[in-house]
Amino acid sequence: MPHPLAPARTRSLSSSPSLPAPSPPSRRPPRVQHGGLREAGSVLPAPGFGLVFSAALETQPITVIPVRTKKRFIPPVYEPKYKTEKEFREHARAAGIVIPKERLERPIHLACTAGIFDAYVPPEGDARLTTLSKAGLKQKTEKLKQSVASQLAIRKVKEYDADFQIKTFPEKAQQIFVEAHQCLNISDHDRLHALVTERCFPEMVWDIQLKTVRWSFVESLEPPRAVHVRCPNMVSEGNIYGQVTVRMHTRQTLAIYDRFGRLMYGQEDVPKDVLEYVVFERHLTNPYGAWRMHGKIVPAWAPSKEPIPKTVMIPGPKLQPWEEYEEMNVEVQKPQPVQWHK
Amino acid sequence: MWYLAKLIRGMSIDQALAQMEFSDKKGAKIIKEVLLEAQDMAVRDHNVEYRSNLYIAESTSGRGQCLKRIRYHGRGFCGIMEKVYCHYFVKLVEGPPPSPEQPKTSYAHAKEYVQELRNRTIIHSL
Repeated sequence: MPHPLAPARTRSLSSSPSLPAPSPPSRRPPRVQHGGLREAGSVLPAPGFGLVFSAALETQPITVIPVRTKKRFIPPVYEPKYKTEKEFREHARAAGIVIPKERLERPIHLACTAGIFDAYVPPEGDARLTTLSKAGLKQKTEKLKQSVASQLAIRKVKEYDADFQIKTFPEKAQQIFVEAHQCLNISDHDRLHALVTERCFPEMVWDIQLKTVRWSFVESLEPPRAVHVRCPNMVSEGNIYGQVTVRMHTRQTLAIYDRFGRLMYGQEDVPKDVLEYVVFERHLTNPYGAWRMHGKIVPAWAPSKEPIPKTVMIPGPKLQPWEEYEEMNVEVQKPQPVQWHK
Repeated sequence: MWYLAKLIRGMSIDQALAQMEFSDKKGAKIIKEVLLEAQDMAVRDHNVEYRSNLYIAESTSGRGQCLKRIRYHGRGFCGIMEKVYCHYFVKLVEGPPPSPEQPKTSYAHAKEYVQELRNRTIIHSL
């Protein structure tokens, strides 16, 4: 008696000893595949009968018995000798047919990465304490040199770009930043593409499409400094991009008007102090690559922005006729204080 | 559909929505959906502050591409059935709805008539 969990052997009818052969010798009996256990001494159905014999214990549920008396043509099944494309190419080559590799006529060129890799986490309370106090001084002395990964990344960037100096870079970065925002004022998209990566461009431009922006840079309160450098690679190993996070503490004015000329946000004449962590990126493997603005990091502890002059309706809960809004304890959800980068 | 479009011309959006909700016509339901969508678009994309501060400036319906089918009558007679489609256009403007035009009074008619008489010039006269 075979074990219930042992795999069942498929037998053809012709090989079974207990089967009688009443059909004429010219006609071959149809092949029957049995799955599952078979009790010893059981009688197999004669060819021509369509009985399904289900065993007590079935490990494989399929039992197929074709009901036919006429011989039909079943095409032979050829197993392919190769599975991968490479094997197929080898076989074809051996047979005498050369299949050339597909050449990308329009290669996809990734000029920038999709996001900010290994984002910088700005320390809490940055630019809140004066440098005259002890705590403020401690905060100020946190330097780029202390982080090992950034130093390695700087070394890697210098491999590809010999003129790169981490001391002079933040100044140039700030100039790029200012020029990019001034392009938004006049909506000069051609110049903006050269100053800003493809990932950053729609974020800057999309919501401003039908609006007028008046942005001006008043002054820089602290000299900009690089706080974080990383060299991620995209798709393949050798394709390297350099990302530098620059901390800028500046004074700016912003006013946005809608398409009808009504003030939507901000004031034109009141300058505001702004602390920003701007990420600049360059495609290092590309010899013609340039450092362009890639995104901004907004820390979790960032103060909330000025509210817009427009009143906005927040949909409340659906009330039944007997309920009143004042009695229900409805809490307006505040946004989560999480670091995000834009 | 045209009657509904003519009905809501010049109404405020809230009044128009109320009329469409309680109208028995099939087109009323469609127009109501259109008005709600337009109101939503105005608030979201076009910087409208108060969603009730809109009125219907233009509201028209136009004929769309219609299909022709066969309508079977008794005794083997046939007619051409037209499956009719139409388009509906609406324009919302921000602000309170304009006051409806007052009907011209008889006094105004008389004044206008007298003015016309006075405007006549007699040529070749002294």
